[in-house]
Amino acid sequence: MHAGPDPAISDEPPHAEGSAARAALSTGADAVALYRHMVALRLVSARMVDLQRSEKIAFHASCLGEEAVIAAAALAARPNDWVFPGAREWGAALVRGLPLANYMHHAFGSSADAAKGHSAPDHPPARAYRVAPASGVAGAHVPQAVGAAWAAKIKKEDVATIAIFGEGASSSGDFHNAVNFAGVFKPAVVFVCRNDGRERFASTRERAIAYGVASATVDGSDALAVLAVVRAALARAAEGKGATLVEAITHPIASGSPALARVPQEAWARGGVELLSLDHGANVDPIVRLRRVLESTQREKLLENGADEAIAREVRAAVDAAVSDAERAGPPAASTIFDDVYAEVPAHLRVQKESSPWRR
Amino acid sequence: MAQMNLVQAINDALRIEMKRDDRVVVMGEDVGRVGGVFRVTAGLWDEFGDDRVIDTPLSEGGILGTAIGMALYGLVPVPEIQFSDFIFPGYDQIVSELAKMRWRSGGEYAANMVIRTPVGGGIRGGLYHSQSPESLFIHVAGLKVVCPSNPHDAKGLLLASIRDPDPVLFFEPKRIYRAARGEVPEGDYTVDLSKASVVREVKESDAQKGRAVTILAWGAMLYEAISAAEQAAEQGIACEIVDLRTLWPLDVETIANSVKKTGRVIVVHEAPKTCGFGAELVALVNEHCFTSLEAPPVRVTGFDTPFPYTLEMDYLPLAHRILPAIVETARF
Amino acid sequence: MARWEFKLPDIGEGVTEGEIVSWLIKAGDMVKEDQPMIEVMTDKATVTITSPKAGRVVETVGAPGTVVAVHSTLVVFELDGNVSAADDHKAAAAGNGHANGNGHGHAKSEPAATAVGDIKENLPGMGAARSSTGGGAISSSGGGGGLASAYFNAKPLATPATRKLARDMEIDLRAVPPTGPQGRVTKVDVESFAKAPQASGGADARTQGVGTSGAAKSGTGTGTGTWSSGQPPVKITPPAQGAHGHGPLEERVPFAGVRRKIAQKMAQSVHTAAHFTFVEECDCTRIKELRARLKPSAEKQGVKLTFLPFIVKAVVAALKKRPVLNSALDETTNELVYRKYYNIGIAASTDAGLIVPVVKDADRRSLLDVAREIERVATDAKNGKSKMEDLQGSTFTITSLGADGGLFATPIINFPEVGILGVHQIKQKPVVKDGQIVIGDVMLLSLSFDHRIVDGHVGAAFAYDIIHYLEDPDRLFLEMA
Repeated sequence: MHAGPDPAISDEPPHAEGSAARAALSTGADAVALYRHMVALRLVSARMVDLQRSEKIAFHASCLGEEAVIAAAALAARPNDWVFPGAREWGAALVRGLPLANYMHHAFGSSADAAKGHSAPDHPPARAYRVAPASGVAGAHVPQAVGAAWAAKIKKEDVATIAIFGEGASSSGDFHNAVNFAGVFKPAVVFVCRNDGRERFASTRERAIAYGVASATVDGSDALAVLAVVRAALARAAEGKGATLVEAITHPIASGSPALARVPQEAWARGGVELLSLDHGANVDPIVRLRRVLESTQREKLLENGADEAIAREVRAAVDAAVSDAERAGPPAASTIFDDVYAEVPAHLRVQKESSPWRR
Repeated sequence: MAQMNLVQAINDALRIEMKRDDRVVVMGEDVGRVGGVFRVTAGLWDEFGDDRVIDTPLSEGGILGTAIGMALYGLVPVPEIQFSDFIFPGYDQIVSELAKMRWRSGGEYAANMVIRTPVGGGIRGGLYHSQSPESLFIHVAGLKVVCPSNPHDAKGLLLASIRDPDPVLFFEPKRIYRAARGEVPEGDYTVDLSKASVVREVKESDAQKGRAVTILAWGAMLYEAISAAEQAAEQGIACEIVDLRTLWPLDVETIANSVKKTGRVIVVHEAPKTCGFGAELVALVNEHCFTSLEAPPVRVTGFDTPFPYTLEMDYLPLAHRILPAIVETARF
Repeated sequence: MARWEFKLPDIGEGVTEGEIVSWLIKAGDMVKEDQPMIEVMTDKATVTITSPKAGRVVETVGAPGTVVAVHSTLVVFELDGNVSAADDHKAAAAGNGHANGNGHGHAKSEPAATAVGDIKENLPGMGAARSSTGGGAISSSGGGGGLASAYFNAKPLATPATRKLARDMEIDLRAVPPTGPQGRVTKVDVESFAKAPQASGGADARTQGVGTSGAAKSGTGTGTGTWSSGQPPVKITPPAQGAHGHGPLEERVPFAGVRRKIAQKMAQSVHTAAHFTFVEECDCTRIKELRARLKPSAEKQGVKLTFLPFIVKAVVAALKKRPVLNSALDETTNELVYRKYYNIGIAASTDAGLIVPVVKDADRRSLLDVAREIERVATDAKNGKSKMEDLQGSTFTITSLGADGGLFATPIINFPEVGILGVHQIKQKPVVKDGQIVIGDVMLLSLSFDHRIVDGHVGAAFAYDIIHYLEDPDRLFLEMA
């Protein structure tokens, strides 16, 4: 019953040299893909923050500074695997292929939102990309990730699930139930916890031992390290060795941080490249660190000069287009309140739908 | 046809569906090797094995959370909550996740599953083995709630519930698990969800005499209503009894037709009175049948207290409490 | 700073208006919470209204003497500002909140960080003055039928099915006499009514417009009100202007306040109770002597002893012998209610009109105590300072008609009581004693009874009980409670 932590996974300390070594494990294509995804997440999130500030949207869960964990975990997933994000990991859907336009329509709750304006922003449905719909309840998705992996195991299908969540959710009863069940039934699930310093409670690693699952701690600002660890955990899971609890130490770049002080106000809306270097000497900005690896002379330069600007320009254009489309689309029809409560609209809802005087 | 009690009928339904659809998975505490504390899942583990009949840890939150994950993936889980009194640790997964999954994903995802759980008192179970929490679920949009009163309905409704694309709470009135017996067709059949059943009818001509009463009931109390109705008949009062069967979505039409005929209605339920399902039923009766009412609608229910151990027969709305309500309503 | 209007609250008891007696504040004053602001007379009792909020008075509305309707504005305030913005930048920048992510310094002050949700500072419909939930409307309009025999009840009781039947048959449910339990109109009643010929007199009982209100109905203070059921309101018009000299032909004074209240009660009483009057003399020689003997002791205890306390005790003793005189008819349940408590109303004439303060539990008080209580409530009434509870709850009333009471009178019952005792002044008159004419002290008693409930011989017997107690106080001493 007690799996014991896999020594290859549980004890790696995080440091830069280690990541260079691991960079060798990933391909150059992986690294560039990661970088593009992270830049996109950074600029999208900054734009969403700006939209919230100007009250065009009501809510945004910023992932500034934590792009590496989200992008790497999502990228590590194999095509048939499922990702179960929480509210702050909306980026996982984008990494797995959800078009930015879909995400934006959802954030605006527009008439083209797949969720028909039923959810607050950052819970985009993305079934085609095997991303589960996030819940508003912290941690609620974690046992569901276990259940889905369990179902795959019952059906003898080679599918794993990755649940991503913040340290706070790891205090929830749902987290306990999830890891408990995972320890007992050994489905192919990987738990990726962003230890973001927002809460200061027990260590993930200690918890993993208690539940009899493997654990790994990794520097959440080292994108390649995260990618390697999650891939390794997935491989273990696929071999039937059960779940791994990956703790990624992240450094979210919060609104008051000195790193942001130097960024001019309008860069948020403009998607300026200033946003891509939020380090301020602390060596925590994952984009800065991955860029350094990509530009380093230790290997072929994977990132040419001006590549940042080019990527940023591309992202900016996509975001602008998506925002303007979402704004123009307007809200959904009032009758959509009654859609999808049940598979078919039952009589009592039909009565409500037909009898209310609608404003439009 | 076979003579079955409620336990056997439900067991039969589970077996039939698990054979028919290999996505169906039964899970819960003691459902496998033990066969369920009420023996409802007896024999299933032997037949279908570990992968499809799963003994889970004691964690309603874990059972329901993982079941939802399974359902998202494409299985059709039928988790059991050993007593409905213990459903509350899993209430968040039901209310926040299960009920809202389809709605919040614009229909991309749905969690098709049936949560089976015994409800009701009268078995000397005390506070935590006797509750009837139906209104806590009826009130949550996106859920369906079923409560059969007899083996024939139980089997057919369970098969229908498992095949229904929406999540269903399947409440089994434990007091009559064995006492409710009847003829049950063998093989596969369903009973329509959202259709109530008139188990005792009043002729139009009797209703016009002005001494007829409609009784709305479900579960174990249906039999108490029938007993009270038989006594009332000796006093010249005719009772039409509607077994709701599916509590939500409700068959308002059958109820309204009955109340329009009799002009008088009594609701009987075990759950406490305030904000019990009876309150909703009375409100609906007022909306649909107001100008037919000859007397105020009455609810005969459990009291607004927790469920007592010793005095449970005083607490339950048994025939001796239903009868005076019938008489008073008829004579209003 | 917010403007806020304080309105005359609904203090219940069916009060619909009040007369401003005096202002205790003026425009420009700073008023504290609970500070007294204004004295208002409602239905004979004067109440002092305090301010529910603190603020500055911008304006007072209405001069003393003005009659204002409940919910009309009395005072306009400017309230203290009270929106305290939380420490803005610190709060917004507290980034460690979950899913926050925003918060560059914003000029606008923000409340403390919440993760989700747009909490507005102001919403429509909020910030208006609290209006207290009203007390009830005037109870039972009683049978508002006028002197004509048509039955009319402005608030009939019936099940929904019966109401629908009446509507379908175009029958005015208000005109259908009920025979059902708890005073309900039944389907049979409706069907019988439809077949019966129309009642004589009165209006057509088929569905009427809203205009006719029973005489018993007390409407809002102002506006039209009819006093005779089924008839349109009476309009007074002056004669055409001719050679009538100079100046206006009319002076119009709003018929409101206490005067109107009295009028409504009088009309209700006369239109409902079947009044008959019984008059008899009472030889007060011995009671006069008794009073003279007791007066000094009473005065030593600070009590002014009039005849009224003796009469009160005699009345109570008589009521106990004949309980029907202490009863009242409950029209909602069709029950005659025999009251086991004895609250004696003592009608008093004041500048504002006839007021009936009440001596509560007269059977449980000593003679002295009754005297004290009479003095207290009567003084308050004369000074317009009666408390609400002293004006309510009487079960039988005595009205002192005084020196100018006339030979005898036909007092109007204090509805819904079933009898009233009018007491005339003791006069010296020639009386026959042992075949001789002597000067006696004679007091005349005029009693009115509701013949629906009190038959003639019962009323007479009651009257004689009182008389015997007063003429022979020893008996009163033996039997009084």
